[in-house]
Amino acid sequence: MLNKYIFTLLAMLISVCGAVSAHAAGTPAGTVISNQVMLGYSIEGIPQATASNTATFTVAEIINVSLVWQDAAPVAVNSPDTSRALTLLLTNTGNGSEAYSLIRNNFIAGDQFDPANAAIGAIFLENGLAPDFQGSGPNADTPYIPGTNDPTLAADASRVIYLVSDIPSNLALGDAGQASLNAAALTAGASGAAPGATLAGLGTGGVDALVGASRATAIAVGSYVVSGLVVTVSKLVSRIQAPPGVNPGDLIMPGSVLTYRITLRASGSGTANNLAFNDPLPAETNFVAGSITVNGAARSDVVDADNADFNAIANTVNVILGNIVAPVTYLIEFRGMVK
Amino acid sequence: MKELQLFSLLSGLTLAVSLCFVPLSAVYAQQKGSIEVKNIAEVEVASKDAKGKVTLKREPAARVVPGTEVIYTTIFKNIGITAASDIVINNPLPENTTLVAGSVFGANSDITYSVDGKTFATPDKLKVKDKAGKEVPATAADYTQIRWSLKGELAAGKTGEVVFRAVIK
Repeated sequence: MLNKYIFTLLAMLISVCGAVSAHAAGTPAGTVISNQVMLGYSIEGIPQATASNTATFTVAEIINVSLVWQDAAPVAVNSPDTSRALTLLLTNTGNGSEAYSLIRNNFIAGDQFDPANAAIGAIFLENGLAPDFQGSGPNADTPYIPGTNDPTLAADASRVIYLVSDIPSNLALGDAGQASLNAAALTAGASGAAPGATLAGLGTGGVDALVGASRATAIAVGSYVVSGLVVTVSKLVSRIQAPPGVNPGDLIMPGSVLTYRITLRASGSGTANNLAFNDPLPAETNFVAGSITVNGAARSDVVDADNADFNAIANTVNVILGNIVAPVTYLIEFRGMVK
Repeated sequence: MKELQLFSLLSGLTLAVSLCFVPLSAVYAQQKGSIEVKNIAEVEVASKDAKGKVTLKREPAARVVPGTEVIYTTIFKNIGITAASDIVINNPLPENTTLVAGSVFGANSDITYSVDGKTFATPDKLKVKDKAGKEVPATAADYTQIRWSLKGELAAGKTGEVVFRAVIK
């Protein structure tokens, strides 16, 4: 009985030490792993208990990295074009803090043109102020300067990196151009070493470091495509309806209903993202309720599942087209009555 | 005579009370005499000889990283002069490790596990709750403690060992 009592107490004592934590990249480097065994027994019917030594070791650092191109498709550019970004994600897939050097390569075989390092800078680090690449303005991302602001990532942490390019002139539609980024862990001797190579004392906090399956280096290639995508909008009054009882004609007077027809055309090839159309009505007209159509199909005036609405405060017709793939044409119509 | 009986009863009572308040460390020091327990953590390191033959060699656990399998061996020896019985070995699995399924061994012993650190049972009787709160059979990854209950006695001078493997999370 005493045996069992001591036993439970010991088990409780041991189990309260240390809290459980979850890490995708594994137990952090420097974590001490301890284990102590309890043994209970009886000598001539008298219960006894004893504990073993505590077997202890420290988790070493494994150096691993991944780099993945994030754009869903080749980034559509014009020829020439400036400051166009490829988006990549650098992730520390090891279990310790690690800094990385970044090297860009524009000369990838198998494409039709070589993107040039942008005049504003070849590599930028996302500064977290606003999503996507900003080359200037209050949220401008940070130009990468090797040896000065090499990105340092905690275990499991990620950072968005941009390859920013200027695109040469006189390229043909459909031409592809690739650029790559290489990220190399800066722990001495790690990058390119064989998996399992040991770097004594060079891990986080002075523990040993081991080179992981990635060989402490990663490369990702992104590409541009010359799309020549151009969005044009033309607007005309397609119909004038005279007030009731007045002879039809081209004369516009109070009570005339004007039908506006907008043709929105994306030519070339590629994808235009987040395309939205806003058309404020002239101050002299009142919007005719329920008159919006897109490609001949009626749309409600309120903001809802359909992609068009009329904002009475701004006196504006809005149509959200989203991501459109060129070539494509949209026909938007609505009516206004002259005050 | 009656007085003497009372005296011995009293002293027995005193003994029982004082035993309850002896610090645990003192209990060990006093009882360590009979069974000695050693706990060893090792890793297997592959080495290739000149002919390219790979052999696994055990080394003390070092340069352990997430995914490394650690072999824990508990060696116990009866260093007393009397046989020991009712031997029960309890191992709370180390934090940040997962038990490797099928890696637990111990000669001549009943092996049970716990998922809550309180109740022990054979794997077929252990249950845990999944994310939806539904009771499902526990797996090796759910176990937090291993218990070996040895059958029979450990004679004076004899040793025994139990073993399991755990992977660093």
